[in-house]
Amino acid sequence: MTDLASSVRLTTGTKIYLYVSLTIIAAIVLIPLLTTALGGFKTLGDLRTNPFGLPVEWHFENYTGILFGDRYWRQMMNSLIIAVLTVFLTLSVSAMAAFAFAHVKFFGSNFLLNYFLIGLMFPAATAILPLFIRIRDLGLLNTYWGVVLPQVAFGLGMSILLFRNYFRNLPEELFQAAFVDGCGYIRFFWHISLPLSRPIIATVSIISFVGSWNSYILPLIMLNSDSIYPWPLGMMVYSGEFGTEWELVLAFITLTILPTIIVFFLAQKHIIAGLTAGAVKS
Amino acid sequence: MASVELHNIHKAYGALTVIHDVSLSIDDGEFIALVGPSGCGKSTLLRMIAGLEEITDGDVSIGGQVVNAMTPRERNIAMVFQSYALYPHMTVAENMGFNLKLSGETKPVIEQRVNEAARMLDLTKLLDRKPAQLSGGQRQRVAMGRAIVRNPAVFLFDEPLSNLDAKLRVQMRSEIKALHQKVQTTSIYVTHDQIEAMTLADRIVVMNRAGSSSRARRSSSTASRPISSLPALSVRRP
Repeated sequence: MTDLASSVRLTTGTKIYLYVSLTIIAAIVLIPLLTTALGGFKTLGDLRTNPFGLPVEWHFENYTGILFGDRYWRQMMNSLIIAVLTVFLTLSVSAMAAFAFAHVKFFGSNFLLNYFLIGLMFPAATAILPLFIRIRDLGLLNTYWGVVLPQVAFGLGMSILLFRNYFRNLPEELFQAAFVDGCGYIRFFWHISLPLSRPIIATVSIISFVGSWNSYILPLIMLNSDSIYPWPLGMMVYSGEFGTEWELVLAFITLTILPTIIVFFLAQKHIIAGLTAGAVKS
Repeated sequence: MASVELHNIHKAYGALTVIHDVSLSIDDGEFIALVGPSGCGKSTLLRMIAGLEEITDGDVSIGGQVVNAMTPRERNIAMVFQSYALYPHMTVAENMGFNLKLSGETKPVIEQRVNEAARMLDLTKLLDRKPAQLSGGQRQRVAMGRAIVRNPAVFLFDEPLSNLDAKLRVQMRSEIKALHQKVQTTSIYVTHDQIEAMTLADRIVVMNRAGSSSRARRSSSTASRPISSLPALSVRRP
């Protein structure tokens, strides 16, 4: 945007068009979020008569009630454990697999890669019955791993694709220089590829974290005790319990979105261009 | 330091042969330049000596030992790349000490060797910088520093100065010459710049487009009394 603005003089019409369209898009994203967050501060009556405006009276007790109860924290912790395990496993497995696909020539590598990529075509819902039977046979029903392992498996296709493309674009000379310096594949992966892959690690982490955080169908099938429910399932139970008290449901939703936003902003600063600047003459 | 022998080297990519039967003997401590037109296979030949490219046929010996099946590390060579190939996430000191770290040297030894090389190349003040904060000439000096710290048997240079501007190139040329005189390590230098070849090298090997070499002569006599039409055509005043 700044490049465009500085290099091309925009006419007033174009500027108005840009601002209006961007404002509309921002509004589509922000208004539901704000409505939800503000709804949490209202009373039920206020919410019914004035769903979009500011609260007539600010009621913090909706939020504090949830924050001081143990249900919210337990569900957050469950979601966090599942998400962190998913991100960690997805990152380590897909980075290693992608490195092999990017740098090692071996018989059947293309076939194997395509096999992984086929995974992109199937959402978890299509495989829910065989998945359930498999997880049951492994004795992982109603455990964190019963949710984590399928999530990692379904996330591998996309993550391998992203990592592989990134690794292939690292300068070839870096690999040769490292090889001359005495690196084998493993050391090159550990000492050179990974430290240079922060942007793609952040990207894959965000995708996999948000996917896991919002995952509903897998936990619904695999988990059946309230104590290890992640927040989307907890949400379901909560809204079943407080179905008529919308202000509480809205406050609960707002609080569950917060960690995703925090993780996004933490990871975002690592997605910076030009990390390989100075490696080779371009 | 070691001598390098090439015996009937061939390189083929499938049916396409790019290097035909090159034999060359390089003495211990000698500075050899490989010159020739683009695409004649001089870089490929250098990469075969380095161990970055497989040898289709023939033998490469370093210090009397056939090294065909060895990794670059085992061959004890160091290479300076045209594009510098510095590790962007490491400081200058880490870049230079990386190969020593990999070979398990202790921190004080690494520090001492890196400081020594940095002093030799006038890099002492830049040791804490990252490659992105250096100029082209400084990066090239770091790439050379990375090569000297490990005290290799052979230096390989793959057109190391072709990314620098003319003035810097002249300066770096004399630095490379001085460096060679100081460390006296066998060096093989690929370039398409004949002036560079003639000022730096003890002998020049001229390769033609078909990827075979003409015999090498002392660099001072190559231009004035060429042994065949190929060096005469390749090495002349521009």
